[in-house]
Amino acid sequence: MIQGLHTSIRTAELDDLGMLSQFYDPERPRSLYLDRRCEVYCPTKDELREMLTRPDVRASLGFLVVEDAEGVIRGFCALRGITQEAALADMLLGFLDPLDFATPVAEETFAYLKRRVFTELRLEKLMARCLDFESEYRQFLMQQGFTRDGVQREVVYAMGAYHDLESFTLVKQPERTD
Amino acid sequence: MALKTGMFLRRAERDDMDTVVTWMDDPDFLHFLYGDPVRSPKQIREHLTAVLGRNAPNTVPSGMYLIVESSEHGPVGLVSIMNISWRNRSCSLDAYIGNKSLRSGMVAGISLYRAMEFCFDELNLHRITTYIYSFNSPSWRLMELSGAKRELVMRHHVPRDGKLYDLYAYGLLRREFEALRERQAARFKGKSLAEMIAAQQEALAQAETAP
Repeated sequence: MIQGLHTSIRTAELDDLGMLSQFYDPERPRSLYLDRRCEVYCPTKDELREMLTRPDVRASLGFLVVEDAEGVIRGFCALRGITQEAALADMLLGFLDPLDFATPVAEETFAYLKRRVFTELRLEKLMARCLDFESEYRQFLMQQGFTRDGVQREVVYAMGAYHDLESFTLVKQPERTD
Repeated sequence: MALKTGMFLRRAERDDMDTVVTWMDDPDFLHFLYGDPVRSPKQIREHLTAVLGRNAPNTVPSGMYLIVESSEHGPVGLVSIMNISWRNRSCSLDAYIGNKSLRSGMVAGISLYRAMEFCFDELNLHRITTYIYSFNSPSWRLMELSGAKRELVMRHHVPRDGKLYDLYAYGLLRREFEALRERQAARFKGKSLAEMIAAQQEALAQAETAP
């Protein structure tokens, strides 16, 4: 478990299924649900259980839950698509309440992900995507220093309409030698 | 397409396997598209068999290979339509001209246009995405000519020969393809091969009868 001042981050357990399933709300899609084809994917509890118990997912710390200081689960994060050759990973970060992106909980969670990607895994780039209506997440990414790669237009169909998907990259900063 | 050509697309069949394996094993294919140089021809064959095997009439494929066939040269290239999302009505598209002597802009352009026609008119898709490496300038220029927009630029994203290159993502929406079709129809109006031959014969006949 990673203990911070405002959060603790730990691997998701089967006991967290109830909370994780709340995340996957088809009425309120998020960019972190999107699969390789940019389709909104809402797994059932059975599928989630299967994912959480897969040995490869557990070994790679696939799903991490974020708890606040009171032990209440506020969100979840994961790294996906880690490519050693291109030295990059995709970041998934979400909170049940999107307003949490403006709190220290989000900042501490992101600090952990950044350390994991750039220091522990020694990757060079962290990538993230957000849908056109995820304004809190977008603002958070910009504040954390992500740069915009561009927008894929009308690429996701959800809630009866097409939505744009914006891509961001954070490049590892050279380490200070002083 | 208003311009008549002897090139058409058809679904890849098991009989095409040897040709396609040869193309996919080619260093150019690995350089410009995807794949792993250590992948054996047997593995490529297995991958292709898996894709071709999904084409039973009652299944909804998430990817398909089309062969670009020329009446003069036989199979000249491969179009892969992958990651088909029936929900988003989108796909990713790659085209590869295997016959190196035919890698002119015309052959690639016509193949790409036919593939786009297939995606929008037959599969009823809304959007096509293509990912092209920055060093493959003939391909991304062709996409820009088609009206596709460069939507993403991912810096230093693709490793090739020990260096990292940029990756471009192009998106073409149905309305943009329809605009292209209208432009092409106007451009090639009355310019089919048969009409050009007839016009030439008429001009020759007039020259002969002229005093």
